Amino acid sequence: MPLDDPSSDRDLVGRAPHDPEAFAVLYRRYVHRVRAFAVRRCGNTTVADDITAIVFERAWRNLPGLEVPDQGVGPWLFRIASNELASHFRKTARGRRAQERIESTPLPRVPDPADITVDRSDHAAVRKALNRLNPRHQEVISLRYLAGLSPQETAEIMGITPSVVAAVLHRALNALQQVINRQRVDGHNGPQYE
Amino acid sequence: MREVNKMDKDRLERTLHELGSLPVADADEISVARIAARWREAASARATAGRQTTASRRLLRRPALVGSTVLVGVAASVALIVVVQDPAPQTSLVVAYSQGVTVRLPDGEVLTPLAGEELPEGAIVEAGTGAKGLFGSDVIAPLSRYVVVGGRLQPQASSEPIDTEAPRPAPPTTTTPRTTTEVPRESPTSNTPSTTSSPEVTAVTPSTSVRPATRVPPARLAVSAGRKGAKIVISWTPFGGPGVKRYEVIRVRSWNGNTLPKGKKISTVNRNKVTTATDGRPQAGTFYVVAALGAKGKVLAIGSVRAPAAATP
Repeated sequence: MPLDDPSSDRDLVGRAPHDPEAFAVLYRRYVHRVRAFAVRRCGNTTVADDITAIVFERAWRNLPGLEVPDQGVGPWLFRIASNELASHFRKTARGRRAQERIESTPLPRVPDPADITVDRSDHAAVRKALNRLNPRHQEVISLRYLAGLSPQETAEIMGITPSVVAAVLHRALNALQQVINRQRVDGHNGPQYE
Repeated sequence: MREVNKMDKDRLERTLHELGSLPVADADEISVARIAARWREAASARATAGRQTTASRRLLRRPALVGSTVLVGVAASVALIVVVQDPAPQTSLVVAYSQGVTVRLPDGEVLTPLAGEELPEGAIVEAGTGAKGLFGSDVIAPLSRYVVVGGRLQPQASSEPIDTEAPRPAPPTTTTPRTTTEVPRESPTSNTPSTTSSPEVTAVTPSTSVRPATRVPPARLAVSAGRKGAKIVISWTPFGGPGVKRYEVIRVRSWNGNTLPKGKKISTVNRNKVTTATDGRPQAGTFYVVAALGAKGKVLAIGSVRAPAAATP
């Protein structure tokens, strides 16, 4: 079965409780994408690996009752990952310390000479501020920007309409902007813009 | 005094887009195997302890396999199969509510089931006089006997008198005892039915720190749907447990299988006797989730059904 064919997810989910190979296909199909999402969101591969493991453990447990939408289980896995990350950073002091470490060691990235306006401190600031938003705002921003889901997919997986997604996203971005700017004014986030 | 140049909306969106397109190398085989090993450990720990662990606790654990990643890497392809085989297929039965019921496990142990507890295949459920219970989606009748088969209760003819007053002592067992055997239980009496909040004695083994499950998973509602002209009629079996205040029927595009989804609410039924609802504006590719709700909107039972496709001429 091809790894990049989400239309077969429904069949695989139906077989997975009794057929180990079916879940193995799902695992191989989504593990890299879920992990990449987690890395982008938290900036730490170790935490991302942990979160990815939890995502698939939760997915395994919830497979029997899962109704698979047409776009496959990908958005559902991203949502689990988003919630787990929010929970992780909210509840554990360890997560907060990890975040501090992340901010001091940004991700290696491919240099882009054209990119002269956005620097790495912006990444760190956005991640840090994102963790301070409420879970719903974290979720909608993570799903739309970091998981790359369309407004329709985001709406379906969050159980709301696309217009509500747009409204929530608007409020979430405003809140994120406020938190970032408050951090900059308070001098909590490294270099300031001139 | 230096001015602070605040981040504007454009810059924020640009940063978010850039974060979303950051190149992240695919996990190598070793990482994939390591993730699988952590997942395997978490799944087996959950199955062993029989309790909910928080995400933070799971994150704090480090599997022994991390130290031998090379070995894991070599066995990665095998591990994938092993991992998905490891969590047992979900054929066990979860107790939602029980009163005056005794369970005899396959290894001979006799216990009073607690809400949230899982019963393995082959366990025998004995209901005494005035017994009540909801095991999975099956309702217990008084003075009856069942056996757990395929995650459901199957009625069994009683060949000996049912006595929930004094459970028989467990015979010596040669199999590995369940975690529940580590928790001393009070002898059940007919006047002290077990409840979800019954004070259990703490675990004997400090390292396992077993505690009774406090979160009761919702039972399953059997839901069906059929077309009636352009409409869809959704039907369900009434929830047998106590405390049902209303049923809600919700139309959704997808559902995680457990929690009450947010979607188009088709109907709210306040009486237990009404077990149908009609969707006058059905949509293709949707599901109907029916939930039995208790006080404060607590989900007692839940089930779903796919919207039937329109009949083709």
